[in-house]
Amino acid sequence: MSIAPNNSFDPPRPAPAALGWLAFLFFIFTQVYAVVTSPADAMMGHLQKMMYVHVPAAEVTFAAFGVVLLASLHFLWKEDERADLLAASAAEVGSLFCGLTLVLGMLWGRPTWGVWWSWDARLTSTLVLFLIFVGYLSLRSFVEDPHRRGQWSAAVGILGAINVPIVFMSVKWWRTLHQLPSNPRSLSPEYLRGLLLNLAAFTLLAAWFIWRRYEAARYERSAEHASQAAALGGYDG
Amino acid sequence: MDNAVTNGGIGYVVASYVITWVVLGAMLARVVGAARRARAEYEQAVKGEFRT
Repeated sequence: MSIAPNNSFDPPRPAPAALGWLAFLFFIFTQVYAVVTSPADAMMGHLQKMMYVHVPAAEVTFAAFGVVLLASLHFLWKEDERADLLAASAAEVGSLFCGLTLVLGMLWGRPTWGVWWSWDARLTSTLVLFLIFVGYLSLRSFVEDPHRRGQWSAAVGILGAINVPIVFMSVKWWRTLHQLPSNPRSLSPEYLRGLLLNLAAFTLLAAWFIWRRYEAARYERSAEHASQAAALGGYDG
Repeated sequence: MDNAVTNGGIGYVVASYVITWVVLGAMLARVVGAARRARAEYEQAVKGEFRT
């Protein structure tokens, strides 16, 4: 079955290299800035500095899976293969950040809670989220038909993204080891500045990753189409 | 809390930043490499080098 009503076989618009450099340099700046300017916390000591990598990684995970949700709905509605490729790109990047969030959380948990892992609501729901999107990526690798792959992936992507608010609210709905989310009123300015800057840097970097991954996916589909066209031309000739 | 907190937990902090940079660096290399390879394959395909 073929789905290409929206020029999905056209070569993509490449991501500007300048945006990549900007994201990369801004990320380095915000990391150094946050580590250097934030004083040791009275309770947590220097462990507080892990907030500048753990929290942005988690927020970017949520944002990436939000992109999966919107792109999957768009694909089911319009059957535009570009939306399916965007969802897959965002799922790949989101899964990476979700895995990173889990590992960083374990590094936080060991010195503060005394354990690497606990089956509490926040950690377990985040692990479930990660596994759903690993499943999403695995599913894509063994379904060959683009239309069926897009439909099945969209269904799994939407179900997976529904888990995001559950992960976010889990610390409020259930008693967990994990602390409640910080907000601008609960953080002093010297911590808040570093956190907001790192949130922006991680978001920019993730957006650029998704764009480049989407670009690669579009080129792959365009190359497949061009190869098929050339092969058909060869047979005809 | 174990002694890591009272000692400042520097080892855990360093590990978390090193892991973050390694993972993001690997992802950077992966997406840039994938985009370049895919573009090269597309350009070859357009030139008809895959013609059977």
